[in-house]
Amino acid sequence: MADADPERARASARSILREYGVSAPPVPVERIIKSRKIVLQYAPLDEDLSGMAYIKDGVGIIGVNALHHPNRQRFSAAHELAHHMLHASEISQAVHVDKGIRVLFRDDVSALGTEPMEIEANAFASELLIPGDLLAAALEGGGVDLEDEAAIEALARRFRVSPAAMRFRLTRW
Amino acid sequence: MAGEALYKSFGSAVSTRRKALGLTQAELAGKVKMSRASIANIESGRQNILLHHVYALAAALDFTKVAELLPPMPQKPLGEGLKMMLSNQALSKQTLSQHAEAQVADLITTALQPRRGKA
Repeated sequence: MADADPERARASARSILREYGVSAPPVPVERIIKSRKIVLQYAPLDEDLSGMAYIKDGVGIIGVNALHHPNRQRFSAAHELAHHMLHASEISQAVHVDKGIRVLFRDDVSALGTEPMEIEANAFASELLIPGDLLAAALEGGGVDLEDEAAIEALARRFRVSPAAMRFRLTRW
Repeated sequence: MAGEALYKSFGSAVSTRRKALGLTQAELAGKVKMSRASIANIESGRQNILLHHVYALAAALDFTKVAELLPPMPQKPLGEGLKMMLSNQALSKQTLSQHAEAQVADLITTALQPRRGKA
């Protein structure tokens, strides 16, 4: 696939939020997935596997590692939903297994064929679970100190995401 | 799955989830009224475990279903080789272990099961 288009990914997440009329956190990612007729399956997987996406004979499947913290599972589920929304043809040809979900530095990206999909899926998941307008409302017009762990954790709890996911979002404000 | 592998797999699931929730072995032991040594033995797969302990552990580890903690049942294979593609593969130069591949195949089989029944 071509270069990553995170803006297209974020726009897709925003259109889902509008479709479901989400007006307060936490975003009901499980309900959104199920209402799109995608089978959401939790199962114990190796620690470094976060989830998978696959379309088998027209049936969409999202698998999430049941052993991870529930807030991390929500991010994995949203990340896999992104693959269904944005990369349906790729995940129809082979099972896409996400080994960890990591943020990549610019230098890593250029060398890799599959990374654009990951960049887009992270942008989508981040926007879906922490919508810009709801985050602005939660910040009440102020900001948050990235070093203030208690503040980040409180914010993460409201959105039911991990503090790491909240940090990722705040640095891409 | 053979007995020994089953207890090892169960133990590693308990350990992974406990760490994900930020609990120590002692804290988990307190919640399920077992000794810390028992938790350590269960996590390393050295201790057989009673059914009511499985339920207590699942509840203490915040699972909604006991099944989310358990290794999958032996399934009929999907009938074809599944092609699996790993994210970040080029970066890590790693491939999926046979064990992990089996976990993913089982997950897909389980996800497809009710639909197959209807077909």
